[in-house]
Amino acid sequence: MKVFESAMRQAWMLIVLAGLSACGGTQVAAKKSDVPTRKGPEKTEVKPEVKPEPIATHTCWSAKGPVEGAQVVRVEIRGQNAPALLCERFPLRPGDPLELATTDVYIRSLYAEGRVEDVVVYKESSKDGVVVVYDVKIRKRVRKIKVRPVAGLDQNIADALVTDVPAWEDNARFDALVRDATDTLKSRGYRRATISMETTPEGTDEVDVVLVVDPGPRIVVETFQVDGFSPARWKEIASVLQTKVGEPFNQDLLERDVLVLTSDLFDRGLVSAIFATPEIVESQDGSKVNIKITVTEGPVFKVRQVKFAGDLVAPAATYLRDAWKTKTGSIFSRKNIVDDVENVKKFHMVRGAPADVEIETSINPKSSGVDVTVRVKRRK
Amino acid sequence: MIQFVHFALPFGSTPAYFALVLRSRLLFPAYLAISFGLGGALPAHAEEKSPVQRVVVNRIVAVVDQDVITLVELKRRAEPFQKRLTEVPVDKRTAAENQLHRDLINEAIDERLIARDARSLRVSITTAEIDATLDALAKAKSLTREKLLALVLEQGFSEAQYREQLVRQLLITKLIRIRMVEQLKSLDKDPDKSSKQMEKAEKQYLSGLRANVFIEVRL
Repeated sequence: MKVFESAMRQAWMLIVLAGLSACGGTQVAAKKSDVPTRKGPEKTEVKPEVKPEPIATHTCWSAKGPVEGAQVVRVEIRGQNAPALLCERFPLRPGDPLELATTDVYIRSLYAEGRVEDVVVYKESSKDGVVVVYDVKIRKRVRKIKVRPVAGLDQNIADALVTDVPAWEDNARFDALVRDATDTLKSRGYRRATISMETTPEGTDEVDVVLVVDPGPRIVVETFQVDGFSPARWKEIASVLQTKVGEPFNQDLLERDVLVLTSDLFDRGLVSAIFATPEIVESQDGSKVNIKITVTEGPVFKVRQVKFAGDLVAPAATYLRDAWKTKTGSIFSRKNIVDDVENVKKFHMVRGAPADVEIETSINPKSSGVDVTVRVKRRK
Repeated sequence: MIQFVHFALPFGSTPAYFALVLRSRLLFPAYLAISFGLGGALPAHAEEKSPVQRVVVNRIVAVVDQDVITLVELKRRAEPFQKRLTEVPVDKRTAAENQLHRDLINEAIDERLIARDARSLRVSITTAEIDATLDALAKAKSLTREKLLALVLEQGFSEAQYREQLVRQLLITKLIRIRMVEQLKSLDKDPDKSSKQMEKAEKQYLSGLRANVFIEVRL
């Protein structure tokens, strides 16, 4: 359904724009260009690391007899806490040539698993042949991650911050975790929240992680104004919106409300309605927000014609009579079209020919008409 | 590596437009010009040799989220520039090589992020588009495609490497046109000015791609 899809896209764009125009948005954009690389969240180790285990060396494979000069005579793994089982990950065997492309494959697959922080492949040449050494840095296993309780942050929100605990002390995954948690806080009204991490080594190979949250002020909706709806329509629709004056600002709820408003327009034939970029103005102290959405409704569009195409099981007239209620000349309504699609599916089902139904729409601004094509595709 | 995908963009992208945008940059990539004479140290492990003939053959030189860029990949990317590096005075060569490595790593990082963005937007470049761009570039320089490729070869690039460069640049151009619609509306009609505007848009776009991505360079 092109009309509906374009409405959804439009709504999404608005949200994106809303996010940028909201407080701090511009600062974030500026930060993006200033900081070309990201090096993980701010992380503090809160107690000295336990004396590390000595570096382990495992001989994975060793030639029992002589090999030719350029061939591998032995394969080793070295590194603190490096398990001998890791040998299985390096299929290189004595007698094989050392190929750079193969070392590349090993490094990439090992890193992607998350357990290894770094791998250096050494080639040690001697008259006996080539010794290949994989020097690995093993990450510590994450035992637990918790959020430190802090005044001003609802516990149920704090509990929702850690959705996925990384298995290993991996800065990339920690970075993603902090980013997601910060986004969650911002969407719940903590628009100025910052998060850092504290790690505490436990033994030689484990670590506990604490998220230290500075929630900042929780922003409250001071005004929420939608211009462009008729007073009667606004009275009806305002009751189903979830962004409320006096309550904490929630970006997710605002996004949902924009979708509700968009759907309402599309159910009333206002398919060319335009949402101006929402104005979201934050007070200087970060405690209040004023939201304004301007809508230009435009003309009411009517259905100009309905066509049926694809794997039909009856003449178009039969579909129109038995399964399609939106008639030519009626006001275009997204909701009614969705209902009609379900009716067509049932129409096919009872005839033993289950099908998927897609809607194509073509809008004619001059005549304020919408041509609807119902495309039926039999399921195999 | 940026992949060729089978479908084309839904909007009309003319080779001439790309030629306009790409002109002058494609034959002589920017880092060729800036690679030499700038300071910095060599990668610590790039070619470590000890009395026991111990050499680093591969390692991680950069991390992009869960993906890595390896020393082997970096060396492959540096190959076309080896000849030009030998032309740099010996006392400046180390610094030049270091700068080249930094630029190539940044290029590799960008390529991954561009490919990721292209996949998410289902944008691709077809072989026909690359051929058309090659022809347009050749025409702009009053050359045949064969002569253009010979010139490229002289620069140290193989045809495959040059085509990779074109894919990257064409993808960026397409993606910018999707991501930065508003900025491009005010594109100047003058080719020089519009070229500069596109360069600025490209910088903004690439910078935006790096937000919300974990990047660590281990040189």
